[in-house]
Amino acid sequence: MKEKNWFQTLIIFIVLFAVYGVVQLGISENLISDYYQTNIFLAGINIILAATLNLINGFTGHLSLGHAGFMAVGAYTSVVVTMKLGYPFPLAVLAGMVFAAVVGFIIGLPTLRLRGDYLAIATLGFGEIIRVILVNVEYLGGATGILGIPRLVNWTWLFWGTVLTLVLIRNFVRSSHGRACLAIRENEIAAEMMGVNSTYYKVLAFVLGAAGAGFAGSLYAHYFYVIQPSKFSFLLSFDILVMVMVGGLGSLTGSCVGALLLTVLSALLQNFPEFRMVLYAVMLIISAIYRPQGLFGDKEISAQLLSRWGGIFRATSRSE
Amino acid sequence: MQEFFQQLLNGLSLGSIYALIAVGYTMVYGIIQLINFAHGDVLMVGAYVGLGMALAGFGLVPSILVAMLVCAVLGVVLERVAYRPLRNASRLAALTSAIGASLFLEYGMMAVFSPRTRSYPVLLPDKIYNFYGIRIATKDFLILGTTLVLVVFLQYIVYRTKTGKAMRAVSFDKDAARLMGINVDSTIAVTFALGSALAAAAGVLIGIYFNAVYPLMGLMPGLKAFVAAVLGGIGNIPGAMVGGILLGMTEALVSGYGGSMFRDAVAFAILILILLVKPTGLLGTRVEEKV
Amino acid sequence: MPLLEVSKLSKSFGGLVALYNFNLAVEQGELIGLIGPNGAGKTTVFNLLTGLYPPSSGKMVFAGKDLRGKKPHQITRMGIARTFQNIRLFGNLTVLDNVKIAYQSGHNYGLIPAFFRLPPFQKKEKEIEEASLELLEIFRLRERAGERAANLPYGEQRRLEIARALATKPRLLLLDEPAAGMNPQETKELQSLIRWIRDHFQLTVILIEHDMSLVMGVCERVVVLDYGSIIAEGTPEEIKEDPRVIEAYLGEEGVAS
Ligand SMILES: Nc1ncnc2c1ncn2[C@@H]1O[C@H](COP(=O)(O)OP(=O)(O)OP(=O)(O)O)[C@@H](O)[C@H]1O
Ligand SMILES: [Mg+2]
Repeated sequence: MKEKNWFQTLIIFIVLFAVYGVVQLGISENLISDYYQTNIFLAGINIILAATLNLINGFTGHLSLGHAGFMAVGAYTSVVVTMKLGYPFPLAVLAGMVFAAVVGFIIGLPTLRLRGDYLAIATLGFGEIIRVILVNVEYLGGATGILGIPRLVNWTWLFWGTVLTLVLIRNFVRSSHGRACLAIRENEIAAEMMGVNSTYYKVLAFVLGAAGAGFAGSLYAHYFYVIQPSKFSFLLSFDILVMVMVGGLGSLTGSCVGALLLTVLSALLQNFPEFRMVLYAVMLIISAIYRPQGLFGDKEISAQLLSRWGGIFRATSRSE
Repeated sequence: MQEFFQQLLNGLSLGSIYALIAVGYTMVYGIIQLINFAHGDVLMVGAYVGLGMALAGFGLVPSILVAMLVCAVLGVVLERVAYRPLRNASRLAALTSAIGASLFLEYGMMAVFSPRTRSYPVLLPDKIYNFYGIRIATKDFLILGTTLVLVVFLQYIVYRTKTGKAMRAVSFDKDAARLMGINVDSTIAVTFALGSALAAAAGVLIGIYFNAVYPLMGLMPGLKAFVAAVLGGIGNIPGAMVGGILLGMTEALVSGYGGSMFRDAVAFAILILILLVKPTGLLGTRVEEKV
Repeated sequence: MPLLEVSKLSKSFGGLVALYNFNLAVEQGELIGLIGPNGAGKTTVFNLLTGLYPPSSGKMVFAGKDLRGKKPHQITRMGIARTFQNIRLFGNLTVLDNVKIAYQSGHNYGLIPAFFRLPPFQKKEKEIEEASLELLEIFRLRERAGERAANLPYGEQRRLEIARALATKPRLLLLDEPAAGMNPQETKELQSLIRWIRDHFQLTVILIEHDMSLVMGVCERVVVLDYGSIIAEGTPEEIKEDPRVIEAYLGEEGVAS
């Protein structure tokens, strides 16, 4: 048992390094055009956003529509720290996450304590307010935003940042704390009766999700040179929601696939923004009605599952 | 002091619009415990229909009535397509579908009519009356009058007709109502129709009041009206009206006294406050989930 | 001192008085039946004891501590566990996870060990898993450990609810109609199971049940509610003979022998 785990971990690491290395090579050797690089970075950031939103929506069962807002908080905070205060980037990332988490706490505690379904409205409103505030604050560049942000994020940061986010979320979800969140999603009253402090866990998941969005925001800001309030409108929140819904509530694999799928779709439909949103709207309704569990449900493609498939494959090939 | 009353009056107009929208929210929430995210967008559709009528040369009253009629049908269709299939599903799925419906209306409208902002032709003589220094425009009379008429009409339906009785019964206990021979499905559909018709009227009023009709115009009024409904006590119709007017006045005062940037933030600050202090809302009573 | 002392407990919902002046003293180790016609207020007693509703008036003291104003999870940690009349399992989670969630509240580790899988995580997780499997073994659900709880047959779901409640390590167990939907054979088994867990875990049990054979067979003392008030109290034999009880049940289902 122990040895097999070891073996799996090794394989996962090899695969990860392979992906990392190949893309890095492609970037260094200029084999990947700017267009593709941009989309690869967007995909990574989308994966972080979708996975962290899934923590709130999928694992704890409460709808948040403020993910873009938390991303904005993270982005602006980190840019202030690097550009205006002149501190190093890692500190800026930390500050962005902490500040996003604090804002998440302020919104989450009163809303989640009672009626979880008010969270959707509160977060949607919050996202819009953040945008309005950003537009009005001169120090943060107003509507034009902040230009000329140094590019401090490279492929290494992005790739390992994404991997780390996924690993941490997975570890959280598969711990007693994650089980408590799942219990709340399944039946809040029963969860309380089993000793789960439901307010604590709902707020915890929300705050962690917000911090994750803040992380994505700081990566985004320090790769794309520019941040503008309009980038973080509620449309982005809806995009992330669609990624989570399409991939599957409660599946990290699903979030990754959903994020990749929507990154591609968005790139293809760039010139038809209204049509894109109508399509997403239909996808939301259909996935809610026919497949709330999304493409993956709460399944994960893990090394175990893969090796089981491998097992099936071996078994069939042997019988031939 | 004069300025204060002026702002109160402005708030009253704005607040009665919120009240009209909030009533629809609260009715739907009362009957199926769902936040009808698309409610604000029904309002937007109403504003467009009214605009179309007005541009075709019809007067104010027919424009409002037709907008209400069209949106009543739209409300029923929405319920049928996006909400009814999810009545027994998880709250999250239902809410997601509602959000999808909202996006669909917003961007469908944008795809068809472009994101451009349009404005109403002149339907009313634009006169301003002066009462002891407080300026009242014809628009204000229009809004207050329409709201009053509609509210009385709604009270009549809810408390004096059989349909209203059925609505109250279904929102009290769906299963018991069904056992008593009430057609739950059609009662819910009627609730949507009524709420959507009120939203459409509000849409036309907003279009005239702010002189702007565009696909995302329902978003903020919708959110704020929801806050108004929570403020008054969700599920409670008089509460929604009180909440709407209070919210409108607060907003007018805040923006009148220099905080116009924070105008939109007021509603959400109120939401957070009310949830902390009196989560059942001003007129709401505590409902305990049956275990 | 009794383990649980409830005095003058009342609860009304709007105009409806669901429970009125309810008194009950439960000694350590007792097995008490709470019966009454539909809507008598039995479940309401449990909901008040477990903090799901605040009482309108009255006192509830458990092991010397006031229960009023406590949240359900705090009450659970004080040592009261319950099952639900309408089963409330974590349907999409495995049978094992259902029990783990209940067990872990007293055996948790911090967030940092969870995020980074540090030794406390490994150690506690192992402990939680072993204890949970042991409990499932007792309830003959061990083979089902990996299945979705919602996929279990009805009788097993009821058993899992009891197992899950026990995993919180209660001193007082509240069972709300555990035999509902069970066949006679299963009910028989349940009867011996209830006795056995009471002795094995040194529990005090309050049992709400419509199945009179179960109540009469297992309870030492029975309390009868009707329209929110206690109308009789005594040994099963006394209750069976009590004219007020017979009256309350007339037209309901009659008194089962
Ligand atoms: N949350 C609630 N809101 C309003 N009324 C309630 C609520 N919970 C219970 N009641 C009412 O209180 C009364 C007592 O209910 P309770 O559930 O305690 O009865 P019971 O004795 O458990 O009945 P049964 O045998 O049917 O389970 C009933 O009339 C019920 O309708
Ligand atoms: Mg009951």
